[in-house]
Amino acid sequence: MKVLRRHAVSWLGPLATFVALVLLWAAAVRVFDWPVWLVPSPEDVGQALLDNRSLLPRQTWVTFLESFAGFGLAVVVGIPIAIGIASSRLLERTVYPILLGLNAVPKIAIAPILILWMGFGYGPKIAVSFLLCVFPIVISTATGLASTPAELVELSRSLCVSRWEAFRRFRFPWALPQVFVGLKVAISLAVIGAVIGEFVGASEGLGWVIVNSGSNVNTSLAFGAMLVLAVMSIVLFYAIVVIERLLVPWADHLNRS
Amino acid sequence: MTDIDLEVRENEFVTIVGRSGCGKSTLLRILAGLIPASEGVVSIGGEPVTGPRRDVGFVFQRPALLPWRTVLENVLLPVEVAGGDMVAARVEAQSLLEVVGLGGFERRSPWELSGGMQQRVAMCRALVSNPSVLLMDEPFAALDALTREDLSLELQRIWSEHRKTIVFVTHSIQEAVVLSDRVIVMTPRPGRVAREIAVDTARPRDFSSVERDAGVQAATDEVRELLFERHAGEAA
Repeated sequence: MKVLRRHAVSWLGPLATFVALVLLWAAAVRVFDWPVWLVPSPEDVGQALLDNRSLLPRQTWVTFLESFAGFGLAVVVGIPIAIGIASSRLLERTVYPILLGLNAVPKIAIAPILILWMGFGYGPKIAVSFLLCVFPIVISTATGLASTPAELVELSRSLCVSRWEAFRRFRFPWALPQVFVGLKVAISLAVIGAVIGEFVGASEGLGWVIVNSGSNVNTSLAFGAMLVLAVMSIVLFYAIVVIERLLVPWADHLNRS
Repeated sequence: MTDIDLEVRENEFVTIVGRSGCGKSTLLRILAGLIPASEGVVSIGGEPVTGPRRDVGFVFQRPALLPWRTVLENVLLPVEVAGGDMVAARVEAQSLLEVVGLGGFERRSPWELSGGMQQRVAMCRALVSNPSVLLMDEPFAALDALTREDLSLELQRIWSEHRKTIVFVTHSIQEAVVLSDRVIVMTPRPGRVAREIAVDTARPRDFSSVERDAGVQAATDEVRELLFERHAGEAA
């Protein structure tokens, strides 16, 4: 019962804030009498979402696929890179600076070139998404792998385990909470990356909807698409949180032990 | 460290005591094969130590339990990685946990346990594969004074029931004298053995024997004198 109440409180707070903000927004639109093409009211946005209910699910699905593919690719590529960096000084010295350099390049600047190379399909969107989220995954995983406490290292050595066994049984599980820090940052960046890709050149996706409705002065629909994007981002984030709770339920208790 | 010549008999309980920096922990790690000796030889049962070995158990200052494993799984870890007989190990782990008063805690997670209980689990883990030698590096140093006494006495009981060769490192004079057959007093810079003091008093002992028992008292005084005199001389 107590737990239930705590859950209710933790949900009610944000919900109440959200409702208050929407009401404030609606009031502001009325008080300042902004035209609908400049700042649409919440009702306008709702109407736009309703009018486009046949269009939006398909576009949401496209953007979701691009984000998810970019994120998945970043996990599949990023974690092995991090393992390499964490286990070899040579790799750390050679790969790390390249990664830093890559990360320093603005992804929006790369997007047009990627379209030039890969065409107008899913390719460049997935690529931008991947580029944005691979870096936090590599950094956090490498940090996690380097954070094995000295006593666990000694324990693994005193148990005569092989390097691989030590990695599998001690270092990698120990790094998992850190890995999830990176994944949670990355999943939001993945959505942003896909939208950037769509901005530069696309014929579908929520990013395309936003650009398109912007040029048609359909500001309500642009707002609506942004809202859908935000909701998608939040849902994906909490999906990662749920996976984290299932996989590393002990992470919350580390400080106490 | 220099000129360390130490022989530990089978089933003997030897404690190395000394100030921080005298090399007692390093010596223990050399015995365990965790650190190579830059000079000299260590051998266990006539066999030279070249690296960590499975018949040597090690208890660290911190429990070093794996938070993703239950208490029982943590205790079973050494047998599991060695590919040993898990069925027998389960029985052994169970009985060890009973001995240290953790029966019924098998399925708990380490974070649900107090520091003293966690260190008890670490002791069980070191004992589960029935090592011939048990090396303990200030295993009770992170615990409060009362828990410390409890665990010391439990260790004494385990030792007298299971008969192990134990090398125990501590900076607690009382702990050293109450637990050991022999106390090795080390002094720093360079780390070397100042004296070996035999404690002949009959067991079981407890911490009140520091005041009551003449043998324990004499040994305590001797260790104390060695540790403090030397320090005073240094400061002058």
